Amino acid sequence: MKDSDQAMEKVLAGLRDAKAPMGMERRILEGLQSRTAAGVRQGWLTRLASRIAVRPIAYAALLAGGMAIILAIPAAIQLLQHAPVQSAQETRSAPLPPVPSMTAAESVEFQRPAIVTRSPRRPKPRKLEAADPEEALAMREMNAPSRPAPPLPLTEQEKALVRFVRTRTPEELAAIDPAKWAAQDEQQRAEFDRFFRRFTKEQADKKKLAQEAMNKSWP
Amino acid sequence: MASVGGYSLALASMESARSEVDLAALVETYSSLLFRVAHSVLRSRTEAEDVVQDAFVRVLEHRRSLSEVRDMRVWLVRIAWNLALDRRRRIRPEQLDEVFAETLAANTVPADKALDEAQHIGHVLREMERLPKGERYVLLLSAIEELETVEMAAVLGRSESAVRALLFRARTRLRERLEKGEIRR
Repeated sequence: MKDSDQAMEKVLAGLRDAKAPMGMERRILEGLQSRTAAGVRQGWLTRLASRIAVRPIAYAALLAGGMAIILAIPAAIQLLQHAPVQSAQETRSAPLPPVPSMTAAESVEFQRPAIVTRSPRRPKPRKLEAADPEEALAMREMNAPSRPAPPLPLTEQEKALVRFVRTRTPEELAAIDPAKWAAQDEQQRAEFDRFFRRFTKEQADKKKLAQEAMNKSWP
Repeated sequence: MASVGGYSLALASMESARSEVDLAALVETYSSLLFRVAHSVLRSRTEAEDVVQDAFVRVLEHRRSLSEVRDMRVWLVRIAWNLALDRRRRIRPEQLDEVFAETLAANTVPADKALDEAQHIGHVLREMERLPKGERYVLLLSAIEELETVEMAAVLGRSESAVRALLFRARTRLRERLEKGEIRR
């Protein structure tokens, strides 16, 4: 009996003295913290879904109102943007005299684009081409494809060169050939040398004759 | 607001101030008790820790109704107790009991007698599991010693006198069975 009691008490004491693992509290709190963060991320969706399920009509009306406001904001912005432009056009066109040749249909056509610009359903700026002719022209110029620039006019020297090439004779044109110029220079140099060589020879002959005459006159 | 190891969780940060509960303080106060409650059923430290974790997750899930809880200690012990019982049905407790018996024998007797002691402790654990459910539950909860009879009665949903009677019968029955086993050996 004593052994059985001891064994039973030993088991119960082992269960009583069980120690929690080290860091169990930290691990539990970390797990709870991660669950809390995940719950915050998913919580608002669940709450919204539950509230919508409770009052679906009210939330549908709220959603429709929100959509209407969102659609009305761009129209209001466009109206605010075009209102001063329209008044400026009116003041500028007011002092001009009416064109007598313009028919009623043309005048209606001319005024129609102004009405179009007031429409809030045309937010694209390309639609403004028909509204303002000046602006349409500017838009066409801006959108036109690029072309290469025209050639610059010739300078005076270039014009003279062109004239020279087209009017002179072949002999004159050949004068600008460097080989011809070199041959001509060589010829002139040869004539120069020949002239001065002959001149020096004549001078030497004269000097020699004068020396001989002086020698004869002396006893 | 108290904090444990730098972690401080306030449930009221998400909900109304009425349901404000300092979860870190709850973990600090009751985690050891809940661990022993779960360990008495499972006889495994890792499984018991998982049960404690699950118990506090339940607290987190029921944070809105925490103000209605009259006795937080009993409520937490009941959660851990039920979670441990549920977990024991899904695992193989025989292996856990063998490991627990070997560990307990190694801590109490010399190494040359540890094998016999482990077998003896294993036999006691098996006889405990063979006890009727009510008696076994009362015996396991009484092993914790931190729980009074009133608290055990609240956890098990019985009266105090019933708990006392169950505890007496459990001890008596277990002693008789152990003695019969010793005689057979």
